[in-house]
Amino acid sequence: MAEQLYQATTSDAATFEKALTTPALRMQLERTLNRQLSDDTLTAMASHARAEADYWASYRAGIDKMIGAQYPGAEGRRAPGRPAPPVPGVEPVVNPEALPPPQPFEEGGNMPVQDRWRILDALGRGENPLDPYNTNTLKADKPVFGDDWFVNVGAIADTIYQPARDPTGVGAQYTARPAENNTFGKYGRTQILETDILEFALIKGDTAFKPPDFELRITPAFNYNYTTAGEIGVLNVNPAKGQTRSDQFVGLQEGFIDYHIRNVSEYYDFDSIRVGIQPFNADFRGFLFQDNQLGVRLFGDRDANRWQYNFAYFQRLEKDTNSGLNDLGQAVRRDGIFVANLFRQDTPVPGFTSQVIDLYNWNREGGEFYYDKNGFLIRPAQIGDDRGYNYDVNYLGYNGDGHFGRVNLTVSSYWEFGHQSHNQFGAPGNSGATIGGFFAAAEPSIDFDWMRFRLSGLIASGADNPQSGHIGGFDSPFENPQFAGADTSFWIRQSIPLIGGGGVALNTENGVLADLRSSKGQGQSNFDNPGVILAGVGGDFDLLPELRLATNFNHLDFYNTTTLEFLRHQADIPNDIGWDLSTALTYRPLFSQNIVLRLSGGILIPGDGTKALFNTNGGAALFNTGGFLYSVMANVIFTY
Amino acid sequence: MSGRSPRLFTHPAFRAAMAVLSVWCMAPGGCGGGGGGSSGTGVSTTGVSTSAATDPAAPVNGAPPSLTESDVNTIMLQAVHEATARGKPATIAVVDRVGNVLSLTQMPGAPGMATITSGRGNNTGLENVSVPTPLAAIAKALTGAYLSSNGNAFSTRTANQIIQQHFDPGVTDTPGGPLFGVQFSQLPCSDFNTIASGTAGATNGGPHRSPLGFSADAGGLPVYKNGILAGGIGVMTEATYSDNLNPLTSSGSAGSFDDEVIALAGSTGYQAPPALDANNIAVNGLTLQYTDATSANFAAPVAATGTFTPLPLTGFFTGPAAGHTAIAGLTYGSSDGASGVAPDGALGPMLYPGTVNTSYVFTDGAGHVLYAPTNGLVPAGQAITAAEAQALMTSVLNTAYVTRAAIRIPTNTFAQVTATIVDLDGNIVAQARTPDAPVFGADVSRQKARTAAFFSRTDAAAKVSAITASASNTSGTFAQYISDSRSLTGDSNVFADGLAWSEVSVGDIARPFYPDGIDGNPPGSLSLPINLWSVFSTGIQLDLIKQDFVNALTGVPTPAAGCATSNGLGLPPTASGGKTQLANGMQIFSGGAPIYRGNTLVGAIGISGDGIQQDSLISFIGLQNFVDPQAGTPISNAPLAIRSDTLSPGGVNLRYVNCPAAPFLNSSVQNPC
Repeated sequence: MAEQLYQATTSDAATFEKALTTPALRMQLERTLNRQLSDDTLTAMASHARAEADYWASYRAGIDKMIGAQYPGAEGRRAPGRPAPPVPGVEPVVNPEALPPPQPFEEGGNMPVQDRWRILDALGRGENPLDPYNTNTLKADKPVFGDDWFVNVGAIADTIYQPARDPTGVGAQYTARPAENNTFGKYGRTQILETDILEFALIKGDTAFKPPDFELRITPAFNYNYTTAGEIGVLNVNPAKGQTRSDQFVGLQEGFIDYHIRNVSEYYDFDSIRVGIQPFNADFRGFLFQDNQLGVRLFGDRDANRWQYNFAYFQRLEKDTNSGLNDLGQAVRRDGIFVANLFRQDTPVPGFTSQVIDLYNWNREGGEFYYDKNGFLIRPAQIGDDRGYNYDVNYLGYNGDGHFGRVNLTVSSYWEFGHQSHNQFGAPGNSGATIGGFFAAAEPSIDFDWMRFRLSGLIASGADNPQSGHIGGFDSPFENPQFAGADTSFWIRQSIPLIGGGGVALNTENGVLADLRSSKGQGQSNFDNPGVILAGVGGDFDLLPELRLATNFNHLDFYNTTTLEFLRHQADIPNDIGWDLSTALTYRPLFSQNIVLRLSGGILIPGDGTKALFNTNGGAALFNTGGFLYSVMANVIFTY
Repeated sequence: MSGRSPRLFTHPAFRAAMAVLSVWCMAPGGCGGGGGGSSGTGVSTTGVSTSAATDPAAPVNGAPPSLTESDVNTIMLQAVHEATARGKPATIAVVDRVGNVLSLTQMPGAPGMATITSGRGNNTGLENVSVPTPLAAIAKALTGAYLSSNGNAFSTRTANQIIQQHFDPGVTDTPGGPLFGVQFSQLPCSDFNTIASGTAGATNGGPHRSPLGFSADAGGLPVYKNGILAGGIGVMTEATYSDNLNPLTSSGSAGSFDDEVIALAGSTGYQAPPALDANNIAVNGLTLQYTDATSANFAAPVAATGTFTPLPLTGFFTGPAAGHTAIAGLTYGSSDGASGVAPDGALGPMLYPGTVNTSYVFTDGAGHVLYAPTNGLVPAGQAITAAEAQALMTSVLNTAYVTRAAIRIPTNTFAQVTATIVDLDGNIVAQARTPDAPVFGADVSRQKARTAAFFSRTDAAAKVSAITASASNTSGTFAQYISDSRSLTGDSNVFADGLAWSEVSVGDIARPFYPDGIDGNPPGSLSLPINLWSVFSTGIQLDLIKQDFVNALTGVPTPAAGCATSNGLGLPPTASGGKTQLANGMQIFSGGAPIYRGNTLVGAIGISGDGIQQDSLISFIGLQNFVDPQAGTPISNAPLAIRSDTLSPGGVNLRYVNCPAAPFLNSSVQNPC
């Protein structure tokens, strides 16, 4: 490239010099450039071209020096997966006309610049409210009133079609059809979910580098859901309600005021307080608590964002049963979460952020009987003696996210300890139990050009003696793990009911823990659970810039099946849950998040534990219920 | 799992390290083996005699596992002592495993009569009937003894939990208890249960009748001798005989907590091994309740001091021998057959040589086997033959021996049940049991078989409608049960069109809500609206035997035709056997199915003793696996096309069979039925 530019500019200089003495050539140039060319002009042009040629010559020479003979013709490009070229002590080539690059953390020297919208207004640039990419007042590009009051409006339409084949129980007394004589019936559940989200934000302050002084955000969400199941009594407690259910709900997913208390440095390190329904993720991957809940959160950073902190309290809202959205029409839950965490960038190595956290969850729902919208008792969960419990549980954790050299790494670890007022499985003297569990997860990955390969490992402890005064299972207040394929995976996406073992599920939707809860959104934590061990490999392949293929092969085991054996009154249930194989194709036709089409599918090849719990061997009677379990999800998201 | 590991292996750090290691274990088949040890569910099995599951009469420590006179006196005195200390004069009964009353007393000041009340405010059925408290105490003691075994210890509190309109009681919109209706079993009118010996100081073969059926009033516990089930104790201190409507949130709120504490004090030294407590047993994930009382509730340290005066009671307790205060109990299942139950083959040729374990048969207590396989009487020419009965019973018992028990500790032991095969008129063709089946199932299996046979008959509707005794429903007539069934099912010829009714299906329409458990709905057609319903007023089930119940209280002898005659206003005796078709009452929960020869109804089978799904499975699979030993059309389950599950009242199909998950010990099959 440099060589071509050198030759072109050298040739130009020669042409201009020749035109000084060749009238025909000068006339040709004047016609081409459509102006008169004086001798001075031609001389200046020749001189300029010569200077450019010199520049490219020295540039070329610099490159040659740097590359040397080792990479002839490589033109200095680096390829992923190959060692970087040696860097000799060569004077960098400097464009004499270039501005010096900005220096990090330079004291002073800031030059006031006009607001960007005034620059654009001066250029006479118009706007289209429907175009989020160019200047748009609705996207907080220009103030709506005053000098610094902005609005930001967003909209998301999310449509999901999700057929799945998961274990489905025949009603205890009534059936959907004659001759259903067994416990396991016609497997399967199909869902159509439409969620439409509107975001309104009113922001005071610049929206670029300086954090806003004030923000008011309201995000209502509308959900319509339609579900069919293979059996009756599954979608509603009343079997006469049949095999289908449709429901809709409007919930408030965000509704907060964010007040910027102060800046503490000229790098806009700040303290801020946010009050109201707000999104919060306690760690990097949503292992412990990721939700939009009602809370008060003090947060900020220090040392040019190298330290970040959160102090927060969340008073949990009731969720709507079928949409999972926040239901402000019901009393808040008697459940709250205190959380404090501290992030440190570039620790222990540059590119890796470490975090320590303490999260405390109290729950006082032991005295109530709470039924969900479908009529099922979910607090207390219908297991054990049906007598409720309160609990206090603490999570002390370390999390990390970033990369060590070329290896990307996420790690998470928690130590859980606390007390539960009563053990539903029955503890000596019925006097409650201590809680003590642990959780650890790691996901290293490495990129090779357009491919990323992952290893995933996760362990959550399970209870080894459900009736003792010490409960050893790990459960989270509200997990939403982005891990091991996340909702592509069958296990993480599908909730598998513990048929014949009470009103709980092995795992929750969008959850990796095998925590035997009645409901993820509305149930209490259950520490009397079998725990889970996950080990997997995966890969992401950017087949095209707009097309990504992701795959995950995970193997799952229970940590300890004693709780399952107790609830099912069935000894010797093996730990092996099985292989969870999944893949997802994500297509972004506009190369952006504005239109995302996603098709994913996961299958569970049952292991001996799953086979001991559910019918996976093929039905002897009415249905061929053999084979694997699967789940498919087609998802279209439009975002404004 | 119960053993202690070296400290290193239990140290959290070590476990965490092992856990991290195991994350990387990715071999197909997974990282783990089984989750449980021999104890399976983590429940300690300390003190549980597994050999007693197959030989419940085997001596322990050189003594038979039955209550001696001294044992009975100790239990009685301990109870009297605690009652005295509490200031709650009590009526106390102790029975053996087959229901002989071994001692009975009424302390001075104890109420002599109790009013039956559920506290629901209704006035139907047996509500507000007054009964002598000694009868209530005996019923409690029998309930504790009969519901329990060497694999499970159940109490009257357990009974209360499993017979209400919801399970768990108090949880709305959940189906009725798994043993819904079992309170009306072991009835005084039963043609099965025996009457107490008329000789003072003597016991006789059982299982004996209970004066009030089963009790749901706390204060009845089983008693164990050296860890082996030997009988039960029942205590009454109050003037009400009730149930507990909200057992989840209260401890003794029904007012019977004193009874339970006194019973617990009395049974001190004779308690069930803790591992057998009902609260170690999860039924569909829900654990059962045993007792809310603990030794901490005792008003005084347990002591077998003081005295008490035995109280004879006609028909139930002739009293101890002169100069004694108690009688020794019988050893259940001893080979002499004295208890009314004996090992098959001990008193003659083996009746079921093809069973994989030694099964048990019933006796008259005097050395003679009862209910050996015999030819059915009806329908003429098509009746079940003795050979078929023997082969079918063998198949059924062998099915039980491979069925995973739902209510026994340790887990992964076989189900223990009683099976009864009846002919079309409910005459017994064969009756036998596994060694350690709870005693209650003997009578209940008969009820289930007879109920299934009766309601599958083409003249069932006519027979019910013809009953002129009064009913508890809104019109006061039995005919309404039939007309309501026609309306509910949409089958204008129901109970007359030859449809095969299993016990599951009968139960489906015999609950105070339809579908079962859905609050606010009208009742099933064989039941009553919730404002008329209680555990003392269950609809057609009680109405059929209500007169018999009252007769027993007033000393009117049981007619030879058995239950359901209603003093001549009920079912007439059959021409074949001289009894009514429901000669020990009707039962309305899972575990029975009619038997067909081709399309002809020839009888029924009833199973009782383990979980209701297991009972249902054993009857169904027992018939399915049965190979008819004789030529011609074999007997079998009902043809698919004529089963009651072809009906869909209210848009939901009735269930015909309800087979459990992972039912077998020797197979991983999940859906066998």
